[in-house]
Amino acid sequence: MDFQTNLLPHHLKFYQEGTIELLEDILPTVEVTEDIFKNYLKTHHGVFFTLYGIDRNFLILFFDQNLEISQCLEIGNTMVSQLANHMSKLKGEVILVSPPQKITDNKINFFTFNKSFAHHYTYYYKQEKHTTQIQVWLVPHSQREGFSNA
Amino acid sequence: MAKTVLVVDDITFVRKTLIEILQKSHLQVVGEAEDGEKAVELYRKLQPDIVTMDIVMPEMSGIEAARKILKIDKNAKIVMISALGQENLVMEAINAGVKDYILKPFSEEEILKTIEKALTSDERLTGRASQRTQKSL
Repeated sequence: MDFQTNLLPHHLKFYQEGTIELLEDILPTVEVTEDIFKNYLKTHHGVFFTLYGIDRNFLILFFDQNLEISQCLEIGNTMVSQLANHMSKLKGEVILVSPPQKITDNKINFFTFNKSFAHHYTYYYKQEKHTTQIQVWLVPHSQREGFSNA
Repeated sequence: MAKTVLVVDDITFVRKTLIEILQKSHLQVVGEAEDGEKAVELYRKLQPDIVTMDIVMPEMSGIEAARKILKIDKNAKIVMISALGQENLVMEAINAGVKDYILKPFSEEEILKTIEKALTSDERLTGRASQRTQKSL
């Protein structure tokens, strides 16, 4: 497993609601385009966080629209706090996290204008009666910065 | 008589989860607030036995609200709810005089155990207890 795979949790017990599990260990690196995110927004809630360290990154999450938005925000909060904590320990720097923001069509070019390559993670959110997927993207703020390991 | 609780968190889902857990036990939730300012206002009005307080909230943070509540009532019992990586904020809250803290995402058992401990304890996490907490953070 590589550095990026280990940045986010593999398994998470989410309160009494269920568990969140990473679908696979080998993660694709994908060029982010407006179309990818616009298509997600047609059928998903989108939430993003900005992580401020020496590098700046976005954590972007897309959830099934049947989930309550406040539950999506809390899943995002949980994941981003683990990510920031992990990055901070690996890099030895303070990572600050923005509050969650909802993604709208006019915010998409914010993530894609650099034509960055991003890491795409797929999670299963297993609740008592149903399972949904959570699509998670870790996008560097600029291509030149990219992701760096410690 | 059931002990009363004020639940404070800006995320509706977290408030709902906490209320569900607390209502299953012998505790009575008397109020909920989504920011620090409302929490202080409700504390004055409801005088709950204990407050669960999210550490990071818009408008007025959980730490600031805890400070204001402890100014109103120096014996107020407050348990902070914090995310991973907020160790400095937790220490700030403990130094301000809160009883204890719980990490999100919490379990039913952790919440009830911590609240029970805070309700039965008359000492704040200061002195040696605070030093122990500092080490464990």
